[in-house]
Amino acid sequence: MNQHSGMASLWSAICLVFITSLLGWVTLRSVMSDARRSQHHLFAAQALASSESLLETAIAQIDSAYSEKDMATDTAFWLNSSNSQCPATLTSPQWQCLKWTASDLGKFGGAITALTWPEAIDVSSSFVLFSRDVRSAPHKVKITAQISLQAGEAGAGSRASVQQSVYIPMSAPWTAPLLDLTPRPPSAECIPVEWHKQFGHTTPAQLKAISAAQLQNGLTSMSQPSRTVYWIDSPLTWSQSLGTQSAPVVLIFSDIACTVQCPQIASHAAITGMVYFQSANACQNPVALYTFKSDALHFEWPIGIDASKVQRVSGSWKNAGF
Amino acid sequence: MTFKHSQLQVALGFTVLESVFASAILAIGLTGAIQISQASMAANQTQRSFDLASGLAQDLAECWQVSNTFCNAQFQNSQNTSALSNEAGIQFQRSWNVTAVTTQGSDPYLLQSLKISVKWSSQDMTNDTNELSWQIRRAKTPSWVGL
Repeated sequence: MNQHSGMASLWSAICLVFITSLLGWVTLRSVMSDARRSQHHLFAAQALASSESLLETAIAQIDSAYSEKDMATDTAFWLNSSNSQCPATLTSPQWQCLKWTASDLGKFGGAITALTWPEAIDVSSSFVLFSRDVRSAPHKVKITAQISLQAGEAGAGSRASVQQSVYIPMSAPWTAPLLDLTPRPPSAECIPVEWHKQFGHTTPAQLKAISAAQLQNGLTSMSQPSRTVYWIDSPLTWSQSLGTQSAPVVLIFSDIACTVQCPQIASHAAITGMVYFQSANACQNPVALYTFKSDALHFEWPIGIDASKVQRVSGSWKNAGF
Repeated sequence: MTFKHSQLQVALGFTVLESVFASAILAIGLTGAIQISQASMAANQTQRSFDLASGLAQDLAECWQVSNTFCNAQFQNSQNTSALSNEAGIQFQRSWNVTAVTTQGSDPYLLQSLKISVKWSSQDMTNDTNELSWQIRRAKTPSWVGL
């Protein structure tokens, strides 16, 4: 009986130790898994903070560049942009993209000083993507910042991506042109059309920049979608037909083109949209009445906005997330 | 009778030996279990401190990005230090520093950087000082909210 009691004690002790160890191990696993989850939350929050920092840096970059009030800035900013840098969802040629990295890609033109990147970011696998629709909304830039935490940081390799859109002073809210569209007899007194009556607060420099952006991005009269804004400095006779009812154009002959006499428009060239001669010399031209459609300049701006400075688009912040 | 006595002695001896072994195994096992529990508690406490430190840093970073009376008062000086403690008696030292990042724009404060550091001492034997660093940037570019 006593012998059996001893064996029972031994087995009980072994069983107790086994159960206690098992419980301890399970508890440790549980605590460690909880700690790891908590750590991952911390790393994710750190990555998100870093991506927000990079996004804010990119917003400041665009803000400081466009605060120069010189539209040559736009060309310098987007100098190395191309449609090929756009993500797969934005392959249409109207999308202009610039992938700003800390390496050789996505450099700005000489007029733009690049800002320093935030610390703790692995610059080889982080980037900022500026993208805009040069045809429908050249004044609205979507900025996407994607980062990866650098080696040596807690949570190295953690990634985060955020995006926000900003308005840039590339155009002005659309105002209906104040024009008398009735054809004048050839003998009628010539009165040059003032710029602001035709284009509202949008400046010549802004339209020139939009035209340059569309040209740089490969938009032409034959592309799909087609180019909509043409800024012409050449005094040569214009012989190309442009625009359709569904896609009207704006054709502007600059004061450079009109230095001596504004260019002629060949009789076989049909322009659907708006033609404007930026010169008093325009009156020397027998300008035919073209179909008047100003839709090519009808860019969407919120009502009442001051379009002269860089502003964030409300509600556009998005955690693109991983 | 003699045989029975010796058989009883062997049986009793064996039980004592078994009991000693059983107690030793139990003691070793319990020691291990206690050590595992202690390790779990220490890991838990460390992570809890990191969570608290991260919360303190994030709270300050959020406060920096909003404009209200309380937050504005907190950032009147570009750098500061504050001491906080939790119910476990761990003292957290939070310090921050606001600097301007140079841009080509005319506004020198267009882009600012906030560096936050939260320090605290471990409550284990080592009494090491832990530190959590947090950094965030903010551009002054306004957000258009309507008429």
